[in-house]
Amino acid sequence: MADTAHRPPRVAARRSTADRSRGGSPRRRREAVAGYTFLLPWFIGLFGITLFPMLYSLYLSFTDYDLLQSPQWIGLENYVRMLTDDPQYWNSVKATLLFAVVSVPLKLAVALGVALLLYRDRRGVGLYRALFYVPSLLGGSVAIAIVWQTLFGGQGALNEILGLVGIEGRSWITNPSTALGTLVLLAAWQFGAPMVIFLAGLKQIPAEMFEAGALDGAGRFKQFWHITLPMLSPVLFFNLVLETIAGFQGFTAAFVISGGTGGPADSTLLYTLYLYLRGFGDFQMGYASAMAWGFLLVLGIITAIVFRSGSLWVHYADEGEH
Amino acid sequence: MTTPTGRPAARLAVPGRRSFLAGALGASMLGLAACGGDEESASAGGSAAGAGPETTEPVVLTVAWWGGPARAENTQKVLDLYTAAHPNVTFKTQWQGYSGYYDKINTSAAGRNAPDIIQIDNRALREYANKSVIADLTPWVGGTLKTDQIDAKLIDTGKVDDKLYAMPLASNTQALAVDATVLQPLNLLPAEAGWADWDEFAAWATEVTTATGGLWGTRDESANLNWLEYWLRQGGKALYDGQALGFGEAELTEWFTMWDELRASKGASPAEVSQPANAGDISKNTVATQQTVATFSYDNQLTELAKATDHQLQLAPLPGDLSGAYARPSQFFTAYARGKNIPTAVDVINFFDNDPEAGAALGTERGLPPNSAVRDAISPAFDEQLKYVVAFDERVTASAGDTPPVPAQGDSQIGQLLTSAAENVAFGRAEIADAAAEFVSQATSALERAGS
Repeated sequence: MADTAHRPPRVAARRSTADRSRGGSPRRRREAVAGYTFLLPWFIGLFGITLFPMLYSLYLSFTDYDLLQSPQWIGLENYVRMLTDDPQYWNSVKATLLFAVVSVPLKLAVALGVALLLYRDRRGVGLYRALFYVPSLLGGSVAIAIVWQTLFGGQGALNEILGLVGIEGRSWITNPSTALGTLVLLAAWQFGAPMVIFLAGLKQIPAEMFEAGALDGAGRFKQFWHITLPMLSPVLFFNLVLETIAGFQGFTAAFVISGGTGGPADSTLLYTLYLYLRGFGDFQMGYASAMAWGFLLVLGIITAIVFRSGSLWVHYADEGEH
Repeated sequence: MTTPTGRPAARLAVPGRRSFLAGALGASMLGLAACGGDEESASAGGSAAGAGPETTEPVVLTVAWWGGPARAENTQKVLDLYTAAHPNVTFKTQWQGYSGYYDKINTSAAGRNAPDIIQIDNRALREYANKSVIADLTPWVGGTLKTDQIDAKLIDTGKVDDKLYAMPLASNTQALAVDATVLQPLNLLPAEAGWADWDEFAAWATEVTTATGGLWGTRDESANLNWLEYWLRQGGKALYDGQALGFGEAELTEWFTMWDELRASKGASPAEVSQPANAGDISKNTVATQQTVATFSYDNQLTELAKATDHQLQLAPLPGDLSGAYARPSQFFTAYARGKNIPTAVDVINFFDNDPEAGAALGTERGLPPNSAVRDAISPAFDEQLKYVVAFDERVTASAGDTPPVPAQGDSQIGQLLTSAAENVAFGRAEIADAAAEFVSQATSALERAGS
């Protein structure tokens, strides 16, 4: 969206040469056929596995469908029930919003912080980068969720440690006021992917800018605020969009840590978990489909807002050339 | 792991579509699914209702159940015995804990590839029968399927609209599991007859908490539909009245208040300690984890619980008079309606229920053997613990009330709603009266939706 307006002129030029030479010769047409043939598996996947089920679920969202009998058209009933007659639905919306609003900025802040520590070339820095990335490889797994459950349980390691310093712990994962917090922590701990992207972004910032800044008497903080952050803003924007979308779709950890219930007292009932429970646990696949489409709509709106906000704070280096 | 019986927060079934004509259903299924594989293999298996089991062609049947390692071992033994007698029949097994079990069965049923033999409890029975997930076994009764040595009342618990859909694998009854290793030295072991009423039980639990200094007397069981049912029955009420709730806000408020007072007096564990087991996972049982001295359970679960702790455990009847108790089918075996070879599946189910060798291998881990001849034949060989369970069961069920009808369709959702309401109360996030009112309104509409 926003970035198309600022596409570097060079790219546009290359485009137009390509346009001129396209079409015409039979060899080119053969190549095109070959190209589409190679793309065929992807097209089959797109239409068969993604597009058709999506459209079918749109249809199902207007039906009463229990997986075993054919769907029956009920119009907007699912949507009406969702919005007006299902307190659990709103519990799940609340939990999801809270989760995303806290975990996404936290994760990005940690990722940026660690990237700043690791971007200069020092001895062994490659090893540290790899080590900090490891949690992201493991983090989405069931195994880590179980580790988390044990770590923050009533008889878990965290309480043992707190006990050593004389603090009486609590059962973090079974208390509705802290359970979601442990999920946020688990999400933030998986900062590896945005960290790597930040690292790449940091390396793109020309060293002269910092030198010039230093000569003009800018301290560390001023350099960060006036050089690093603006230069990094496109990368930050990219990470923000990706992490926001991922944040709203959290499922595995909530499912495992709550024993598949979203408990205690619905405090970890993330949207996708509730959707799963309704669809596969309660045979309400029509209702679950309606939830999914409601979700898609809201997530689309949120993403659009993030994109719009980008023009206010995202700074592209080549803007000056226009 | 899980509760072999428990009312767990597991989500199962529910809301369903109209109760429909079986014929119409069959037709719509074919139309919708149109995945020919099933039909083909079904006809190849010769699954005409009432037909005899396959004796020559190789048959591979998938068997699914929930439970712990002890159950897996016993069940595998019985399956091996069957294969030894019928070399053409072999098995694939799937077992897991109770939480998530029905999600998996539901999903595979939706994909038309559910296991051939499915263990269920009465919570799922009405749903599965009405949706034709499981086969009507009536045509086999008297032929492949022998029911004459099984208590008629127990057989009736597997019937929906007078058709036998599910064979009880075992029976059990409600019981309190108490930690004798802790109680013995304190001289606080419950009497064999238990407690005359809930007040006496509350006083005992509070005394235990004080005496142990660090353990709670009982787990807070307010979130569990099974124990609410027990308590309601003592007051002459029932969980369900057909497809509607059999109780109202007043009863639920009283129930929550009772547990609230027990938590306040420290007799019952606080919400944080009780909550993990609300999902129905037996490994989180607070007696097994040695956090509380007593938990509400079923007598057959002693086997699995005893394995999880180094303490000696004992059984006691639930508080108050035994009219709340009943002999309940702890689990059923059912045959998948679109299974590869239903007649053979029925023969295997029959083997589990009526073969003395199978009975000996199963012990009482699932509950007491349903076949009285089998029970008499094998119980002399039981070890001390199994004999103890049998004696307890017979003592309690002798004065127990009638077994209630198969729960309403949507029962699992009612269980979730109760857990949610009870947790909100226990964590102080809702007033008792509000939580009760909210539960009744939600449960009423969930039952209406499920029954429509």
